[in-house]
Amino acid sequence: MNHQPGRSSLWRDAARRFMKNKLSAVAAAAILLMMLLAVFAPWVTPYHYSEANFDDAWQFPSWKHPMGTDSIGRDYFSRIAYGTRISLIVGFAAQLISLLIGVPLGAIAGYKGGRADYLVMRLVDVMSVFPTLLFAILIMAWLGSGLINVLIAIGVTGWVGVCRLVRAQFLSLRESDFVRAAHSMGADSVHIVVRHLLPNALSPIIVGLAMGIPGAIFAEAGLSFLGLGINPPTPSWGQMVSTHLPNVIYYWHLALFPVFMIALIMLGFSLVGDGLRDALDPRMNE
Amino acid sequence: MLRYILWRLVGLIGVLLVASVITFSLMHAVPGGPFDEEKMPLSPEAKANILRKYGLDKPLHVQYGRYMWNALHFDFGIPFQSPGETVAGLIKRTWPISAQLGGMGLLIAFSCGLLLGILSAVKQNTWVDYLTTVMSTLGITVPSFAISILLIVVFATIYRVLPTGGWGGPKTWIMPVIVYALGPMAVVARYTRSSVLETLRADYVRTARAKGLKERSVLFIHVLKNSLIPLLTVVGPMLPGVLTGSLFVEGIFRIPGLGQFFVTSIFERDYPMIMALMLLVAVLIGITYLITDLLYVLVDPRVRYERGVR
Repeated sequence: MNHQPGRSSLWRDAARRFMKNKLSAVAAAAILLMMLLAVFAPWVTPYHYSEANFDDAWQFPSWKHPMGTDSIGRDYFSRIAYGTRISLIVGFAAQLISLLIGVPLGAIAGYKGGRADYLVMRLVDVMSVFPTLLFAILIMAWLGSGLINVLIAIGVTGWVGVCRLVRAQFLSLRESDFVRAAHSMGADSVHIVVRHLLPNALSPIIVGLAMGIPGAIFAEAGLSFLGLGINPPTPSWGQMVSTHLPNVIYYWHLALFPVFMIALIMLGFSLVGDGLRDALDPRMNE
Repeated sequence: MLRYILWRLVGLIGVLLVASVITFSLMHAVPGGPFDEEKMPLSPEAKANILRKYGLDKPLHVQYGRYMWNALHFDFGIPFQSPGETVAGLIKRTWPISAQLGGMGLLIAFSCGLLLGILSAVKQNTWVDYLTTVMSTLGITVPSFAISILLIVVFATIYRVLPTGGWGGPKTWIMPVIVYALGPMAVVARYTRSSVLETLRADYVRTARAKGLKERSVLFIHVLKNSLIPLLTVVGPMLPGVLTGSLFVEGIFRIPGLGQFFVTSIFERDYPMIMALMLLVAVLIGITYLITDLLYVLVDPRVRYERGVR
């Protein structure tokens, strides 16, 4: 894409603005670190996440077990590290599903208008009065627990925001001069949507998706917390919190570490989202 | 205006119908039933009797029609998980508890959030501003059950000044109310800050200052009134969720409110209760959106809804 100087410098400017925001840069580094931890978990962790050692059960943090051990002597740091995988996969994959549902619907509603817009918006109305959690729990109870079903439950409830965003962008862009010019030169709808409308709506979509990641991670943690998410023995932070909540008075570290990780990853993605918004929309940041 | 309200209410009824059909189909798609063998060992005859009693032997569309018809007459059936009372009675018993905690939380959230937001806008780039920014970022991003557990660990385990949970007396309210308040407070503070900052730059504020008004009058008469309008859209959608109770917060603090039933009803295949909860929350959300839009017209004369067009 280097032969398009205007475009590449737009992204380069955005990257520069993003890195200038210290807080977002630190958050991005933290997220990157978590990604590395997730990818290299088998090499970084001293034990396998399901390796039980009953002699070492219920231990507090020590040199041998940096985060202690759980009720059947599994190394807690290893379980936390593998749990990073679930949270990251859910965060990104659920947003991908929201993207795949929300962008086409929003595009049709915003570009076509009329009856198509009416239908899509009524669907959005229905989705927005639903108690989201009740809906997600119903879907999980219907499909059964497991990673794929968690993704479906979160994606099916999460696309509404993206859809609204894309529709609003398309509605305003549709009337702009460069789209009229493209029309007058005989461009068809697909060309206009793909080459003109989508690229111009891209930065708000990216920001919207980044802002949605913490929500998806929270939803997985919540579902797993209720016992409806990831199946044991695969570790998920939400599931680890709920398992050890009854013992919080005595073995507080077992509930505290996953809670801390959930808070950290959500905080990280939110700050990255904030930074992206400021970087991609310089008008906001005067 | 009246026409607009009517139009919106008709739309809400349509939305409720579709939402109820979806919920009804979904909950019957969930495998298992309320009176399965592993929950209560019954003879086939007894089970058939129970099913007939609750109308569960009828085809689904008949069941749906009957439920909605009864619901129209405010009869929401009998909760299978607590057959000694009606769904309406169960909600009437548990909702006030959730509403009380959520209401107290929101009250604190609004007052503190507004105060912090205004302060940090007026004293931009001072420590007040930075502290507010840090607090609102944490409040928005750290999930409620994480805050709940942190509070329990600190105040109930380490310092032992508050009970870990339960329901009875103001001491048990403190931690849940704090948890409910933090999120909305963060949102309110954040939006108030940016909105006040924007208004401070407006021409009419410069005019007000130029004609020699005291800074205090400028702030309270010109700035606040105009910068609070955008807050309406933020605050409205938060109300239904907080006022019906969070199942996480209520579960962690063992509060006998409405929140827990969002989970137990589904686990117990308590069909009447699931439908009632869905309708309750959906109506609350729909009405809140409508009221928010109407308030917007009242406080901002520039906004008008005409001819039922949205």
